[in-house]
Amino acid sequence: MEQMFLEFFSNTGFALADYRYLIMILVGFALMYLGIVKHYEPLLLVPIGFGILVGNIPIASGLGVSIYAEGSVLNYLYFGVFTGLYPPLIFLGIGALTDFSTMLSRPVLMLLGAAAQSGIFLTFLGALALGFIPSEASSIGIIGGADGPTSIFLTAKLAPELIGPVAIAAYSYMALVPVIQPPIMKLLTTRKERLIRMEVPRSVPQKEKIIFPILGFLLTCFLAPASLPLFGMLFFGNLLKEAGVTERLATAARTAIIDSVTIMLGLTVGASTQADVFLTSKSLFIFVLGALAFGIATAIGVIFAKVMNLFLKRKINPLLGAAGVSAVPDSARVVQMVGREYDKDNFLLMHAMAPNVSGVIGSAIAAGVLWSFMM
Amino acid sequence: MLDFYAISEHNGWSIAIVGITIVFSGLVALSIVVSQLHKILMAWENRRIWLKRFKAFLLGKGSIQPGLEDAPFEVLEDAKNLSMLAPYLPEPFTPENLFEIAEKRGVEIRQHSIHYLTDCGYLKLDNQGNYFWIKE
Repeated sequence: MEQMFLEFFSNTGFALADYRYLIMILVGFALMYLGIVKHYEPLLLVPIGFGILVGNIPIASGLGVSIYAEGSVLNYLYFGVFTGLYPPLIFLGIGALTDFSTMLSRPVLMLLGAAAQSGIFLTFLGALALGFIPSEASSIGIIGGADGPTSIFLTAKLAPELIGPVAIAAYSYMALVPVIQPPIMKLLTTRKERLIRMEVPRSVPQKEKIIFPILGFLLTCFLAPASLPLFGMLFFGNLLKEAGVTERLATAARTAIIDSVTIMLGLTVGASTQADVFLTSKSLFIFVLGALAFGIATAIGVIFAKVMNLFLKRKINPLLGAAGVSAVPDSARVVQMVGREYDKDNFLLMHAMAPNVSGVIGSAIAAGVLWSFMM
Repeated sequence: MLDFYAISEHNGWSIAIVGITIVFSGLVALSIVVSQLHKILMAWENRRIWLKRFKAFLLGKGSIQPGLEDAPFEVLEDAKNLSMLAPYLPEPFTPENLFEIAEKRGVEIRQHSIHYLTDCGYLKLDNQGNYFWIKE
């Protein structure tokens, strides 16, 4: 009987745990703390944080319940991550949630979304210089797009072994937008620039809103066919929203579908960070490079807005450049928050949504381009 | 620690430059399409006027002024809304004045309707971007 107790104890988490599991459990706590107490992207950080706890319960090999054990429940749920199934479904929801009106009313702001994507390629170079192979460097670079689903989608295709660290880095930095971006924005702009008010955008007729997702889909997919699953779902979701006759489908896409997929994606990405797989020097480099990518993307967006002002008659507030990273709608909210620190009546949110949503399009194009180069 | 030779070895510089260029070109192309979209739609909305003008041109009648009878449904709606807002608008008024008051009153006035009414001779636009009423 004593032998049975000892055998049972040797298979418990208490006996199998080592310091690496404890570190990861602390990381899980930190993410849940940020989500629940600080309200940083709670819809993502709470599932990911709890998923980290799920993935870091030490399990005896052969039990077949870990996320990497073929045929386990978690492994089935993880299927949507490593095949790249979940990101397009999230894009469907994003499309059904997004109002492209401000982008349609002032298309010049789309250039800010393009500029911020330069961070992706600069980080790609940095990752190559640090010794990552090109497919891994592409997956790390895409973190600079600040677009979690796109990062997971590309990493699933190019470097599936890095999905855990890339996804955690991408979502953590998306959640930390209110911490990372404001110092960079303030450093690169003058008070006078931060006070610039934007002109009232023209109202966009419904017909234009309906035609845009169709034209946008055709144009972007002809340019970067590798991004077809992302653009297809994004623009389809938007068409459902704007068509006016598919409200039920649009509602399903922006509520039930995106919420269910977010739960499964967050939980399984978190669970994929098993200490023995996750705690490597590569992961550390990915986190450092991801932060750099994010910072560089923000800085380039702001600087590009200042350059645009040299040529524009009606100046734009350069803070909008920071919204070029595609963390929707967090970076647009940060622009609004920083703008209102200096002028309480300056409402930049709707203007910032233009570079923000074009950033989503830009990062998906970048992902398609990188994927096609690596094929 | 940084090995810049690895970048050249993996063709990194070219990938980065071509990649940035493609992303920029894609979004520039999309922004050009988007910036022209409302003009194309407006031309489609005003197709009856264009047709009339074309016929007049063929018959050598010179230019003709469009009337509200040719206007698309949305323009007629906006014209109704505009006449309702008229007492609250300054004279002359800017599009900003109009959109602000329209938003406060919860009505929508489309930019292309203002262009249409200007074409019809109900409104007049000066070089400062101000609109004047011509016809009631």
